Amino acid sequence: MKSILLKTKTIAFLLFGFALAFAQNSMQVPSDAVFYMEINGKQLNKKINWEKFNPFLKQIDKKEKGKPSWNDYSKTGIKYDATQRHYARISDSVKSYTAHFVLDNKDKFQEFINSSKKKGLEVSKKNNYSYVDLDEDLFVAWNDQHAMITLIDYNKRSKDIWDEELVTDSVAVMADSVYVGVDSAAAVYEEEVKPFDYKEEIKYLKEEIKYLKSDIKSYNADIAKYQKDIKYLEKHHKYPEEKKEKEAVIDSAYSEESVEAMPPPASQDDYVETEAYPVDSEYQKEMDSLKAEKFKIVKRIAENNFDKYFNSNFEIESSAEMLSFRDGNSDVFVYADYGKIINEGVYKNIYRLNNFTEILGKMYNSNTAYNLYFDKDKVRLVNNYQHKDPEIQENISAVYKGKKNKKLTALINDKSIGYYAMNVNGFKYFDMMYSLLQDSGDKEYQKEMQLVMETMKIVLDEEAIAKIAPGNGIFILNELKSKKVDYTDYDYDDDYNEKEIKKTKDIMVPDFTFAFATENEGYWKRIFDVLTTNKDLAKKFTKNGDFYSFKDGKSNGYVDQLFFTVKDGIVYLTTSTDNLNAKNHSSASEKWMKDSSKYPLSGRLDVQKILVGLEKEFKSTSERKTLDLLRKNVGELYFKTEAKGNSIQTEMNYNTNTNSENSLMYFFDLFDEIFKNMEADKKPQTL
Amino acid sequence: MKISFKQLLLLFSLLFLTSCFDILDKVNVKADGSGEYSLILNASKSKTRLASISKMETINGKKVPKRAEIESKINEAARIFKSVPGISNVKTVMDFDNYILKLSCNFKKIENVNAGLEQLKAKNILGKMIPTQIYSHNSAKKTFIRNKINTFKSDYNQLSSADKEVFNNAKYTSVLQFENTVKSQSNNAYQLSPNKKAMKLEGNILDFILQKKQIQNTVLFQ
Repeated sequence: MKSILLKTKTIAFLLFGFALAFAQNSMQVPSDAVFYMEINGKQLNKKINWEKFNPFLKQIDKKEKGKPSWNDYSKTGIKYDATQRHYARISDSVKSYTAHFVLDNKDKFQEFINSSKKKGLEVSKKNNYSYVDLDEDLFVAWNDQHAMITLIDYNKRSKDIWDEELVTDSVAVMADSVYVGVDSAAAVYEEEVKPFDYKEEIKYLKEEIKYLKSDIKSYNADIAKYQKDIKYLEKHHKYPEEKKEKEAVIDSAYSEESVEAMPPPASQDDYVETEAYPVDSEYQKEMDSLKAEKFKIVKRIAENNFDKYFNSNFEIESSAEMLSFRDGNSDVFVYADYGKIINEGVYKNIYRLNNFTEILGKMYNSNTAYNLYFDKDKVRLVNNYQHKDPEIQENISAVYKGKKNKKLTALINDKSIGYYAMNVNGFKYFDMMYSLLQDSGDKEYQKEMQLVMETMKIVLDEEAIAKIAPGNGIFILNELKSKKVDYTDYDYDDDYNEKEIKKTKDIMVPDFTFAFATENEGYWKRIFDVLTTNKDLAKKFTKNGDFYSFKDGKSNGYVDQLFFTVKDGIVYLTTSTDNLNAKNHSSASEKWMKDSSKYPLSGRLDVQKILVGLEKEFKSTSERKTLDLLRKNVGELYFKTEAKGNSIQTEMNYNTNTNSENSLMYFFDLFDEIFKNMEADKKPQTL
Repeated sequence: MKISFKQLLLLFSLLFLTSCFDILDKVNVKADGSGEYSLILNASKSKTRLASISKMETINGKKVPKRAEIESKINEAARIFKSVPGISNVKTVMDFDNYILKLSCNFKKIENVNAGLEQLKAKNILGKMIPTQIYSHNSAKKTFIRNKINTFKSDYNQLSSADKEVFNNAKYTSVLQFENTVKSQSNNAYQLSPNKKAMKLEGNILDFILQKKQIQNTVLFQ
């Protein structure tokens, strides 16, 4: 019995072991991915109206290529109702963007790829997939059910002009090779720490010569052109007449019937005889070989990525960190690591040069996620920001826990076009800043840094500062008012002598209120008193009762006069004192008031109301047309930010309120209409 | 070509940073060939917007020139004009409340103005492509010629859409006044005054930039 059990166990272990050995591993989204996106095809596909979308895509394709290369974009072989996964990676020498698709018709997909690739370009066959390059840096691979497209930007790391130390900095070199570790194909081409190699140096210097030659070449071309100009002027004493554009150029070698239309001349320079500038063939050859070398490397990287994917079980797994804020109900989910994007991306060298890397790296060391929803009548974008250091995140969250202030929200009224309200904890802001500064900066000067911070804490009376402005504020755009301004124009008498005449026109000026809470009214009153009594400033600042006012003298600008005062713990700054009087509130404005006090940050903008206010600014026919289009389509913008689940969550809503079937098609309908208007406008303006 | 157009834009960028500005140039020629030349740049219609822009450092990625910089450029232009033989009584008026700039001078012969413009070009106040040989007068042949200008179409096309907008409603007016009576002209786009001693050409600046309207004219006197 025992032996049977033992044998069964052994067989079970063996089977399990074999299963493990032969099971294909799932594909991991690379841990160094700075961007990850999931497109919820199951939901999104239902929201796309292909009947509208397809002609639009064809039109764009036609505009780019002259004629549409594909008839029905709803049938490309891609299974649109499956989830798509995209990610981007950045390393010192390689930047790549990769997307994974599921296919429902391999033959159709192949046809689609054939329509996009260069004619005559062979599809490469591998063991378990086929692939082709759509461009020098764009590769696509597929098997029966899956496809992968990858865009690779490879730039060989040359001597770093930003950081002289890098050449000997093995840590930095090692860091760069992280990407190489993942893509072994690239590793072959990556630089390693080597002793000085005179051959390499010669190669480097040759590359420098190539660069310098390209500069000389462009100057030579200019010199040759000017010499031809001189010759032409010596002979004809004038520049040649400009050639008329779009005129067919008849090639005498052809018959009258077969008129060959040449492209219009690019500029007046076309008179220059057709003799080509001498081509530096050596230079051209070198450039071509460099290009070919680069393509080889990029191709190897792509192949390596494809091998990895098509040898997996096609399950793409992302880290828990990436997915921590994903909502399965969203149409699109995006994760971004701004810390890496900032530190590894385009700004890397600038920050490193200015010793900002540490502090900025610490500030941006965060995960950011977006969930996008195309609802029936609104587009919703929910953004979560989370600092990777829990302590710093706690300090940031604490800032977003402010008190309510109803005196500020009461300033919103029925006429209000929009507002931006803030209810944060100003006192906690100092803690947040201290935690960001803590341990940042050059490691060599940590002790000095701590001393500076301690001194700051002693010098700054955080509590007193927070009392000046504890963190509640609001900006309200009340309305856009019409204002008459005069201007000078010229009229002419019968002999065409000009005469200055004064005319008037209407312009729209904003009526707004900015207010914030204070627990130290005396401080602000003292500031305002100084403004009104100071010898230089008093010309523009005056006091009238409880109000102080600022007037620039001339009434040329959009704001003629500003009033400010301190009352009941609030500092007000407004274009009209009437804005501070109590107003009636309808249910709509009451909702605005409620929202503005409920969240640490919130804002709203009624774009329809703005357009009504700006109506006079739209004068010409095309401007009126745009205004009508916008009026018909624009909705209301609303956002709120709060500390939620160890993150700072911002929700942005754009209400569409139109006849489109959903908010995704709303954007399509809007762009389509704008596109058509633009095309219609272009026609009569043909030159 | 591109650089020179940009230089022109920089010179008057404060005025050009609005969709409403007018340019008026006027030539008054006496029978002996002497006369008066004046140029007015009027952006008064956009003065509210300009007052706001003038407080900014940059707009559309371009530096907003300070008042002192504009004054210095105009004064330099006036100083250069004064140094040209045949040019006298150079006057400048700069009204920064209404955003109107005026430059005027007297000339012994109209070709002096051409020489003045040539000098401005040499000193980089005007762009290289700005035409300088604009006018010619031949008393013996009784002709006055306003020469053709180059097209700025390719330069215009290279501008960003924000920069292009600047030209949308901009107006150009050219006035030619004579002591002699005009017998005929080659460009009927110029309106002839009732006494046949003056002519005026008006249009959107864009039409002249794109050469939809021609500026050249040959005037014959009686």
